[in-house]
Amino acid sequence: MKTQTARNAGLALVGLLALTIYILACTSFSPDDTKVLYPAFSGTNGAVGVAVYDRESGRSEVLFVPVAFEDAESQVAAPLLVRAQWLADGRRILVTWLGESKGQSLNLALIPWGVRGPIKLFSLGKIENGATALIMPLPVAGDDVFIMQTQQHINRLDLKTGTRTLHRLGDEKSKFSLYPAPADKGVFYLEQREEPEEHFVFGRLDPDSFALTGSVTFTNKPDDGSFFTYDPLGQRVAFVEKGPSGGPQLVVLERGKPALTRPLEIKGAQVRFGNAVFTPNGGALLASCQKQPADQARSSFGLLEIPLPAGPVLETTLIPALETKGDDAAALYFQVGLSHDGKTAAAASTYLACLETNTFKPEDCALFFVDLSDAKRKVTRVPISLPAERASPAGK
Amino acid sequence: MLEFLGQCFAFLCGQNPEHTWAPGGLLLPCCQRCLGLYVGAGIAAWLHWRFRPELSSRFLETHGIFLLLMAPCGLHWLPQNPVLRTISGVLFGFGVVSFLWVPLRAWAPGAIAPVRFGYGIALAATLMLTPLLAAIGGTLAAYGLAGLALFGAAALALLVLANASLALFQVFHL
Repeated sequence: MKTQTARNAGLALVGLLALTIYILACTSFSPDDTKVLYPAFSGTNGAVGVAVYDRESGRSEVLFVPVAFEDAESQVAAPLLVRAQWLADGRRILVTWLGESKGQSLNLALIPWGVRGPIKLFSLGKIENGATALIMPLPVAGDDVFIMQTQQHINRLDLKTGTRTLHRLGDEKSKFSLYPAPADKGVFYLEQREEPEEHFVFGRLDPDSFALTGSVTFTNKPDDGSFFTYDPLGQRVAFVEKGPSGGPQLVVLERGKPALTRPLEIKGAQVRFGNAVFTPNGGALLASCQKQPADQARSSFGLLEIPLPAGPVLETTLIPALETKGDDAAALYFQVGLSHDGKTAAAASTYLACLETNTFKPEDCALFFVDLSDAKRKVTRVPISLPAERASPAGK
Repeated sequence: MLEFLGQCFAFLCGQNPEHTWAPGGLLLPCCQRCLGLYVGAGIAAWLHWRFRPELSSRFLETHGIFLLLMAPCGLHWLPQNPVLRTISGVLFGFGVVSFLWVPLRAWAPGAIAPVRFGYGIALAATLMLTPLLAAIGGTLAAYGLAGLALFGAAALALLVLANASLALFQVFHL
């Protein structure tokens, strides 16, 4: 009897252990959620590179630093715009940067992570609107990465073989931009068509045939320099346009459903946005923003949580006061990322330190983590070392 | 409802949206593998309760293999896709429930019956229908699958509690 009881208990324990191990493993399997890539300064010459922060150990390491000097005599590296992204397998990191500070030559580096393998460098030559190509991560499908060469020509680069295919989309009356699908599962596109009347089409681009399938069409005019985002399935889009009062207004569109609009004005302040992401359940938008009180030169930078379709907007301030000297694009340099479980937001202020300002304090140069599951939105600040020549007198 | 379930399953599942089915455009409250696990566990618990199949050595060995299959699938040693993730979850759910049921079978009402063809049919149907509904189903399928996953999670919780209670009872009476 005792043997039978012990056997039964042992078998139940096997089931219980298997279930426990499964549940514990599931919450920590995504490599993107345990490590975060962010731009960081390297050395004392002001070069901007890519660093990896390990959330478990709390340690950072600089991974890759492309260095370009303004001219032959310059001793200070030019602040390059560098974008890094994990590929879906978690074993490769794709770094993209413009070859020279004022040039448009786009370069890519494919860096193995946690596995042995060569680092691959690609140079795509001059491309139109190079800086805008870096506003979002590059779309990847399998081993192929997609980049707009011009507003009608798309590059498909095979990261394994280096094979490059150039394809023309639409005609001269259309302008295209590309957006990544989650987990490297394809490519989204936004077409701005001038005729018969100006309108936009958002949809999916077939990575093999380059065929376009539209999902949302709209005639609204998204605000230049603000965010355009979409849900992981590509069925809903959200952007900012000028509202009836002239202030920013959020528009959320979904095929076959009435448009959702809500004002995003903050009384007594001008608001500009960096980027925005839908939360995993689609119930809210998380946006990075710059808030400048009326008649003040200084702005605060932080995050806005915008519940959909309604509800109070929650603001988390990360940098309380920074003078941007009229740089309207400053908000674009402060972007937010969201972990796959939707519980943590991350934003780095590295590029704000590159703005021409004399109010940037070394303690404001950080990788910020915001705990979205905490009612008080606990902020964890991981300092990013600021080279001596970038530290302002005000901050010393 | 799905939002509330999403908050509940957040304690158990990473809810990676890229690994989550969205039938009818509604993101399910747990990932593809967890959906398989909880739906499989719910169906298996109902089958054990209703038909009380005999837990022979062969039956347990087969279900032990279902548990072990999670290692190569869950650790990504095998190439994965949404359907495989869901199927590995269903098999794991059937395995876990069978093992948790072992100590309880003597306490459940009804007579033990040999494992019938119906159990295999139900397992095969769960393996086929869960990813099929999740892939091509509409809003109704989304709510149905989320409801089944909730039922499966509740069934697993009850099985764990019942085993714990039984263990305590036996400690004090032996």
